Amino acid sequence: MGRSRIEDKAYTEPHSIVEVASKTLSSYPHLVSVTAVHDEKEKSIELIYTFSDFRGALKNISTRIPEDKKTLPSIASVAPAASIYEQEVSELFGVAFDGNPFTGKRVLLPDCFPNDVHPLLRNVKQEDLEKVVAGCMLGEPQIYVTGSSRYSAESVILLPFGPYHPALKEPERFILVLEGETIVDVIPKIGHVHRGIEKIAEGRTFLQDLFLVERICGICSFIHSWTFTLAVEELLNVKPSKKAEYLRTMIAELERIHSHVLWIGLLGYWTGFESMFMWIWRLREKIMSLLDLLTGNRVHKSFIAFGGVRRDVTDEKLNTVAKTIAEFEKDYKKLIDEIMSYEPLVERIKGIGMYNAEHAIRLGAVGPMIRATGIPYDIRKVEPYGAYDEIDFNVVTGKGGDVFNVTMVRIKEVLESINIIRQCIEKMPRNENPVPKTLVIGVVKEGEAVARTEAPRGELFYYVKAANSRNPHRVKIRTPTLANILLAADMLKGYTLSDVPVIITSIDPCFSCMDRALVVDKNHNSVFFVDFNKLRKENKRIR
Amino acid sequence: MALIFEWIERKLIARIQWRVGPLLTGFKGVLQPFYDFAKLLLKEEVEIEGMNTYLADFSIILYVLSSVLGLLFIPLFVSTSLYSFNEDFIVVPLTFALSAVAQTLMGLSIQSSFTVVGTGRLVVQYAMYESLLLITLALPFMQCNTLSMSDIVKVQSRYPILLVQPLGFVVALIALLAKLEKPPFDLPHAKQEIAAGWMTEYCCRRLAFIQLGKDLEMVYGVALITTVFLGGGQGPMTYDFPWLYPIYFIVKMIIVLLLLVILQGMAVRVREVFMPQRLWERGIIMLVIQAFILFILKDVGLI
Amino acid sequence: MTRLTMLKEVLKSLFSKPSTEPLAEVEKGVFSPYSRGCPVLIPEKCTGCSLCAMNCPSNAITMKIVGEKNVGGKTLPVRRPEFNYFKCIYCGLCAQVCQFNAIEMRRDLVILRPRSKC
Repeated sequence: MGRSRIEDKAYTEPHSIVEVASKTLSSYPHLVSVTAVHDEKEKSIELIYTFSDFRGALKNISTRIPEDKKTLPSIASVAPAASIYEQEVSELFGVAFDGNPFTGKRVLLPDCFPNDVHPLLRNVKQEDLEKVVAGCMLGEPQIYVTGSSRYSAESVILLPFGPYHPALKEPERFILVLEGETIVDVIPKIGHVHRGIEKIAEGRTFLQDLFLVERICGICSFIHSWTFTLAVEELLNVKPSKKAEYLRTMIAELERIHSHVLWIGLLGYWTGFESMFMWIWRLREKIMSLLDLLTGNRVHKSFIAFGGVRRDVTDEKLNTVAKTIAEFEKDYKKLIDEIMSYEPLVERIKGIGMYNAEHAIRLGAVGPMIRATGIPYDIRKVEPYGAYDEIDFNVVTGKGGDVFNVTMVRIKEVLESINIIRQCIEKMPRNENPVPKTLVIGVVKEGEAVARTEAPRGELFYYVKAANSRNPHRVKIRTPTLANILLAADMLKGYTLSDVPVIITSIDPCFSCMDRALVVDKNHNSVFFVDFNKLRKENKRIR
Repeated sequence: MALIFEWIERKLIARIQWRVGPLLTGFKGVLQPFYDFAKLLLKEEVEIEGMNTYLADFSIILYVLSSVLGLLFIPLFVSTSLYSFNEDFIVVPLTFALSAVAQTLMGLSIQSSFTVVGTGRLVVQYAMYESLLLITLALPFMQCNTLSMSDIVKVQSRYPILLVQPLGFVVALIALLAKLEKPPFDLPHAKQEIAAGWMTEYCCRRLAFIQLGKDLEMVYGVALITTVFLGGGQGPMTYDFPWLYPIYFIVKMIIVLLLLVILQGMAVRVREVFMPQRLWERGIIMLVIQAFILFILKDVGLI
Repeated sequence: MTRLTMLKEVLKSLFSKPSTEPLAEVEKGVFSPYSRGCPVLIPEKCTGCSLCAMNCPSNAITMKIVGEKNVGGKTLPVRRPEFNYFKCIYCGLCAQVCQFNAIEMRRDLVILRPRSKC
């Protein structure tokens, strides 16, 4: 579970997709993703709409459009969440969706990118893309501050929030339309860190991709590689040993703690309570050192392998983990109790950014955002993967959507994760070898597989297609932030400027995970891309 | 002096947050603020399109000078300052107004969206803290029936006014935080919301002097509170050994600074809409109570 | 009341030792005791199969021709992997895929030394 091979796709004609989608939505209310796959032999593009209900059933609807006539109706009218997924497909594959609210705007690719190049089509070479990007960057720098001409009245202030902004960890731009201190409208522009990972993944072997997808995110790196592994193991028909499953679960939960604690600390930063930020991050250091102890690295763990994990963990280390986790729990409970009863802080987050469950489902929210409204939608429970089916844990839910409830959900999830780690250590079979005999997997047989996991930020979705080759034919990644971004932009309206950082970041945004798809590396132009060695030499000279 | 105070503040804040603070330059990093200042001076000045250079430079000079002007009238080394005259308390509102005007002009000499929002917040905040701070400072002078700084120091040779006006002291500390734009009242340059607010577009030499001006403002504010509420450098044995006066003064200033830092350490930035509630609703009630107590005590003849 | 607890926490923090790790430890530039370390070739064991170069996730290994050998009358180039430590992500995959254990992960080497004081 948590993964499945796609065998029962429901084929529909492109023109009837809206009808079918609205029929499916009544029983499968959550749109997981819209995946496009280009088939250069048949000269067609296949679009797979993945729907899910809140009990773990998946439904794939597929449709095919020819390469030379790439239009089809948009389903954004029945499923608003689809608008951003469809926009991603339309920019990367050149498919036109009639009736998509984003049509005509650039959301993912840079504004200077030529209109007729679509990076993810199979016949576009990676080298050509590099030239295109370098060329467009050499042109006139374009600066868009105003964003929209709709707001030209004097009473309105357009405040650019990003791309570089002290409140955001990563570059992303929201243009806030202010009337006094109140926000009237928000214009998001994502995609400042598109790195073309989906494209690069097609040009590398499965084993190399495992390390590539891990680098999508610096915070939830392990869960990315795990989800990719789940999909590939499904294609290979491999099952990892019990101990490996437990170890993976344990690392993922440690990572969840570190991610949530990081977020809670940053909440202090965003509300202007910097002591809390430092105090909580001090606690997080313990978890980081545990990750270092278990995997050898603090951030990019490189711990997982197809069919197991890459290094065994001794009993001695497990005991250290148990001890440190107990210490952490004590400190954490004490500090959080003090902080969450501190009136000035609670006042800042309670009742801010209100939304309801229905709204969240329509906009496709996932993870703590949707659990805060009381819907127990947690992939670990509804579709157990790893060792979660043998572990006893609760799904934390809140009482209604606002920043305070989202915070409480995250705080309680940390305690739940501690509980899971304890059980993992207890139940783990001790005398097994979790390391597979060989790491190299070679050619993978034809097939498609999807995998879903519960990343710290919510449901993470991978689609992997193999076509009898060493490289994957297509890797589609839908990160939780992309699913939550529409909700975040919507939540802002009507609140004041002081609440912006708290609301935007309440989804625990990981913008760099969200944008993956443009190649900006290589030194085609020395003005922009300087070789590291050269930089180092120059640095020496200056010193 | 101002830069050393910045170092003390940074060090204390760091300790509250379990950090070590400035460490490398000089003994325990004491030279770090000097280093920062010098480094900013050496940077190439960036002229931003649409910036009114003359206005910016003028307002920065005004900003730095306003605090220096205020410091001249505070008895720092002996109980009478060199420039003091009989009614020198009226200089205090003047310096406050000057520094606020300078900050506003600095914000408005480039009109980008951040500076406009930041300056708007600054003006609102000024309107709120100024009345509070002036009333709290005026109460001690009322108590002593004088308008002169040196007189108020002399009056306090027996006991500091703090013992009579504790509420006034607390309100003064909070209003001072608002004046210095420190947390929780750092709205005009709340970095998570509007980048650096009114000083977003400044860099290099101008930024260096803005920082210097801020430090001077802090020293001035702390010195003022020390003089008015804690009796300046008065203390045991200052009559016999006049050289003890500045030492007591500095020690008292550091204590006030420590209190400010602790308030900062537990501060959550207020939302703009709660600003009047925080400052006025609570502050003014406390001041009214304080004034009542003061008048009753005066009527009874205790002081 | 809650303010008082917070005040207590602030005071407690103010008078306890900072938890920053001193810079001196970092300056030694050694790897953490649990890290995978840094790949180093043991030339005697290497057969030049280039399995490591093919699987390296960051393409940090290039096979370099170091000499020639004579096998059954034919001269074949002898290849040895060369590591680019700036590209390397220190994941240790090369050591794990090597069939002959010719790559050793060593923790005692200093490859990139962090810059000392400013």
